Amino acid sequence: MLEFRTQGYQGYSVKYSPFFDSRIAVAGSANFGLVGNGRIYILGLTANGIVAEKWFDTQDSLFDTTWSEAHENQLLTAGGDGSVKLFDITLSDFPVQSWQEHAREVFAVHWNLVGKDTFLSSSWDGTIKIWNPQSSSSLVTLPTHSCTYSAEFSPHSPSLLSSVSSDSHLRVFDLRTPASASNHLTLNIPIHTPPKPRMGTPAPVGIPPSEALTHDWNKYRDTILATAGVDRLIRTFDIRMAAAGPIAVLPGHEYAVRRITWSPHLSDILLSASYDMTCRVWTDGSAMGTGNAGMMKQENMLDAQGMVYGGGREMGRMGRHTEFATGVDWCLFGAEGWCASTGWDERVLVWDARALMQ
Amino acid sequence: MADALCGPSNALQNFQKHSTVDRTLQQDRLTSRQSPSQGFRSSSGPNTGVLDAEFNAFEAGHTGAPQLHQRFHPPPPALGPQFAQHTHAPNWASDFQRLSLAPSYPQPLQQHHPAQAPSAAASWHQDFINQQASTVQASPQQHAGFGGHTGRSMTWGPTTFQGSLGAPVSNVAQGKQRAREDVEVFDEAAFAQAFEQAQQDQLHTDFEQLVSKIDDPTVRDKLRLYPEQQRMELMESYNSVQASQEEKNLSRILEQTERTRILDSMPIEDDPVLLHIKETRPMVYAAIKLKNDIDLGNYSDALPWIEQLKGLDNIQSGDVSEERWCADALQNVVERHVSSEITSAAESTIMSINERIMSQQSLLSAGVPVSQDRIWEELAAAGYTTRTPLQEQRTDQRSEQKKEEQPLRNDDDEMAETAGKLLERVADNTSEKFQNSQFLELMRRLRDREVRVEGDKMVDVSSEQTLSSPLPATATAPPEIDPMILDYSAQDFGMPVDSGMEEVGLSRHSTNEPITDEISDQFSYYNVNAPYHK
Repeated sequence: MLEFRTQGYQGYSVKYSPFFDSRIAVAGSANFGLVGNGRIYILGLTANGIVAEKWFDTQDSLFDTTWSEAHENQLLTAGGDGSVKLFDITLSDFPVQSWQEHAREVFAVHWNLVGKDTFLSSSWDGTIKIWNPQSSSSLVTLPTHSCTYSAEFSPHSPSLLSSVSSDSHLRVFDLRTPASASNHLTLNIPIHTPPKPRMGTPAPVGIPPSEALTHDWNKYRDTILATAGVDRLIRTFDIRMAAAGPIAVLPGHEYAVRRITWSPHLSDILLSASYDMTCRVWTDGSAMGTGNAGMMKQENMLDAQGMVYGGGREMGRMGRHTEFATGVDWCLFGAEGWCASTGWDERVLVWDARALMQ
Repeated sequence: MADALCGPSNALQNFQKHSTVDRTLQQDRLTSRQSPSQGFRSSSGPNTGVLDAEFNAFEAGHTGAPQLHQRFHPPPPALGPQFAQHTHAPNWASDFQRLSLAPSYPQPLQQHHPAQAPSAAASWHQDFINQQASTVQASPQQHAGFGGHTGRSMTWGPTTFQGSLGAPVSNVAQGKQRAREDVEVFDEAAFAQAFEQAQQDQLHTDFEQLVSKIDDPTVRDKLRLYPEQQRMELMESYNSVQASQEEKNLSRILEQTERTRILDSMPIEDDPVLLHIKETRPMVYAAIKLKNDIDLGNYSDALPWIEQLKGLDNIQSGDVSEERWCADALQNVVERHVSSEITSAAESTIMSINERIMSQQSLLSAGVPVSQDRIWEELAAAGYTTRTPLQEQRTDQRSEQKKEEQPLRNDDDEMAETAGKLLERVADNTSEKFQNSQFLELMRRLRDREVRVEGDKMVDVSSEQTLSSPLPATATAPPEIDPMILDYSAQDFGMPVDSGMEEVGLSRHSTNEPITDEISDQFSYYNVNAPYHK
């Protein structure tokens, strides 16, 4: 396990570069993001441990970052002052470009993984904006009408994107649909809907809606999304049958889940970071072998917790963080288990999830 | 539901969406726009020649041209669009035009049967003239619009048409000039007199109108007795605010005028100290006078002072302590039970003062300047501090209460409260990590007010002592007096209970968004309006 200390700045987000296996970006904020500056670190993994190759200071807290898919030296930041900034790490001090359209804190930025010419940002002002780095203003604004903590492009289509927001809904937008009254919104899934009743189990009781903080598209199954948030549950949805409710529910975290991300190597594995100061590795039970056993058990009897659904389970946890864990990301390269996490303990940890998985 | 069940990339579904696309009005207009050749009276139309002949006949005055010239008005508004349509004629317009003006015009048959043309022409220009005759007086706006159209290239005889228009225009111009000459002929003195008379009449009618708006008959009668000068003043002050809030201010202005009249009729003050108080603190002065009159038994004189106190609270003294002091003085009067009339008047005045203080002095404002010392100093100088132990005790009590409230009512409070809530939620977590968490330690200190946010920094409160700062002058207008405020506000000045606090407390900017994220509520006191954003 490698460690780097982001002295004075509490980490909010960590992202591996899609171009280099040894480069990590970390967005941090002073004073836990309450007030003060932000800083984006570009870390290099070297034989001597993790070193900071570069950093940029910003006027306001930074809540998220994402690497450009089109340019290996560029990355975006999401600012607490509503700005989205594009930095080039070969330059010093100032961003290449800054976009200021959001009225409130920007909480997520994400680059289009297929189109590579656009990116999005989502904000507490209840909008998702789609941008082109060449254009000085946003291309499209998609309203969600509620505090949108997380938005992402689909890794399978350049025109599909999704968001989760504080109204406990997962939204899917398809930019190919005509611009009409629905503003490209094609799906609006209530996350708190309980799973369909099953044979031999009592009908599920209603679950109150709660804020959804994070979500991610599965990298292999193009209709599968995972969401998580304040109700401490990780759920997976299939957008082909959105009305059927979640296809898997993974309870376990003790506090809200701040970030989840699907493995780029294994279709059923996902990683989560939570306010309970742990990062956990999960399987959603869809993989051959591991999932089946869970399924069988599931069909025959209720799990002790009564919430587990879909045969998923926690495979391991990493408890090294001493404050809330806020960011986690998989390494795209090399062996399949490497990942990086950050938290409010001002630390970035790089570790191998396979060591934890059982 | 079918939408939700099918994937978004279903080709057929997209096709169906195209067919059911939400066409806005604009899109409708754009797509249904027709080519110019279909427009009204386009030059390429086959009927052009026929219509020219008709128009010539029309212009030659076959049907009462003089009448036309005399009563020439711009076309009725309904006809207006036609003139602009020779380039673009939407469907509806051409439909309308067919309907209203020339029923036989668009028929293509016309060109093959020239013999029918005269009858068509007759109906066309007769219709036109009928329309003109039935038009009511046109507004200047329509004049302008019409003039604009004549400037454009009109296919139906632009020159002749403009010529026919020319005559009435010059008539109007002449008429204006004549009128101006007439004015010069007037004797100036006579004119001034007449003007004054007219103004007075106007004032009278306006005043009557104003008076009739008042519900209270006694006030109405009183107003009718006003001399000329006061009427003028009243009207002026009324007119100056009329535009904004007519109904609300009407009665207030009337009351104010009435009170200044009463005040003016009061005996002139000769004591220089009291005179000073009268100028700087009219409320205190009125209260002193009131007390004086009651002490001396002049109950009939006392009533106007109460009235005046009530009226003066419309004047922005900006000094809460002064109003408080007056309320206390009135309370004293009430306690003495002089007469039911005075007691009830005093009580209602206290009510109105309280209402005003409570609705205009924001509960959350940093602090209210309480400077009763100066009042007492001034009164001591005037020799009025003979016996006021009761009052002093009470005001002290009040200011103490205020001091208690003040620290609870600023931004830090929200922060401390939010931090406290967050800590409550993790209170049952006894793990070592949570016990040693720096973030939670910061929350603890925020809750206990050892730390506070200042600008974009966390500041240790213990290291800096910047309390007792004076209230910054606010440029914003005070809020309206809420007449119902006493119904729902506590008057014992205890800790206010905000029922909305429960839901609001967690939001970063204390908006109404439902925030259930137990950790994100640390942001609830994050302030986008903080100076470092600017």
